[in-house]
Amino acid sequence: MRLVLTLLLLLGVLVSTPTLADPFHKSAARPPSEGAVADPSPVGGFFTWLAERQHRLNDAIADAFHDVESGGSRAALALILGLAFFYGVLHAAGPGHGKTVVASYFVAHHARWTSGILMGSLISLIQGVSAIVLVGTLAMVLRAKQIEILNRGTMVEFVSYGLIVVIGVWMFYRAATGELHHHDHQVEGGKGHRRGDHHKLNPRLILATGLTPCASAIIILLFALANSAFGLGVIAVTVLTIGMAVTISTIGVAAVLGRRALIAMIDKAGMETHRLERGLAMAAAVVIVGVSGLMMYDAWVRL
Amino acid sequence: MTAPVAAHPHVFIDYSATVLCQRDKIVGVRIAWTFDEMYSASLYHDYTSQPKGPLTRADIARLHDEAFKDSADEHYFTDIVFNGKSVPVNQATAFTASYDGRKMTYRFTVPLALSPATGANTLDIDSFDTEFYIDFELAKRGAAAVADGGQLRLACAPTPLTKDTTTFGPLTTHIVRCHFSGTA
Repeated sequence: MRLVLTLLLLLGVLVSTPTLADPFHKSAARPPSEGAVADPSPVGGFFTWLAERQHRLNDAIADAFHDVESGGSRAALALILGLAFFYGVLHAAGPGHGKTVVASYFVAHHARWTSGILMGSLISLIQGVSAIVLVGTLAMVLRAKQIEILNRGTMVEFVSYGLIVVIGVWMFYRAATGELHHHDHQVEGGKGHRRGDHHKLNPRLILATGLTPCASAIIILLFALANSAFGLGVIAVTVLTIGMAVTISTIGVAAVLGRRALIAMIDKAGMETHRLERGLAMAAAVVIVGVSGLMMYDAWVRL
Repeated sequence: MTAPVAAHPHVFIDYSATVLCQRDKIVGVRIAWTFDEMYSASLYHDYTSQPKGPLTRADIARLHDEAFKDSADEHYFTDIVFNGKSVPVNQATAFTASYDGRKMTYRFTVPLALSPATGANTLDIDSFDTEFYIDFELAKRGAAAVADGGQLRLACAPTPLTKDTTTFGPLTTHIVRCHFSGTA
């Protein structure tokens, strides 16, 4: 509870500090683009395609909002909710949203597959709540410009990734010093798993990861606000969050099962699994620190 | 501008380009950016004085000063390459903005003074954000046009091209590529 309060306070401080301007105002000049680098590549094409889909979805949700506004039809509302769900699924598949954290976490720790769903859902939920708090505070209480609010998310992102880096370092320390190894050994080394022996989720990690407000949620809320329909925006964001939970939970479950299969394979081959487990835990911590560090840098550049 | 890793695009723009010619010279490119509905709503909300309706002259001036002018730092997100050589984009003139109730469109001119030599020439034009915070997409219709290009026998068409981003890796985008075959 104290942790939650601290994080809420932190969020409060972040959203009330003076802001920077919108994306079209960047003080640091950048060099002109280098121009073409290669012939069309399939990977580059995929991201462009994904962005185009998101663009169409954005416009479709906006259109549905206008329809609800003008007629208030149930079909339009259902359309918004359907689109928001799909948007959540698709959007969470893009970079960010804690997928790396979730995947790494379950590669590092023995857990039930239901934990994968729980952690994925909690992170998504907190991301949605964070966006609602951010927009609610800034737009409705502090009357900030919409475009400034979009950028304010970046500050929260920066801090969120910073916290994850710290937790990742701690995870690495534990893995390297063998604390984790000992624990997992007890659980996994014996025949079968005893109920209740499973690893508990790390609430700090979940909170820190969820703190990053989902930018799409912010955009939808701002749009709703511009159309005097904040309530509708909150409903849409809730559904968006459920869609995101589907994607992130899928990653979590896949990691849980992947780890299990790997350990079973090594075990079957008659090899010691200790070292593998320790290696996995350390590697996962390195990935968490590395990726979150990169995201942190990325957010820093945008500040 | 924001970046890619965390922030996959959050602003979406359909862009189009019209090459402005005068006799045997290219004197500029008129660029149009149409924002997605959500960002359009934010722009309208933040920079206009009325709750609804078309933009006033004062709104347009405010959009220019507070939401457009500084993109000079980003070279107006516009790249122009003439015969394989990058042409610096440091100026945008004749800015105007319009709002159709859903979407905001900016229009501006990049002045140029290009005198093509006789023979085959190419001109590439695109708007692109190397940080991929803005996803610039070439408009599905009317993406490329030419004004008074008869003497240069100019023909422009959308062309796929892969460009580098700061942290997102190479991205395939569509640019406007013009070929022209003569000054005579």
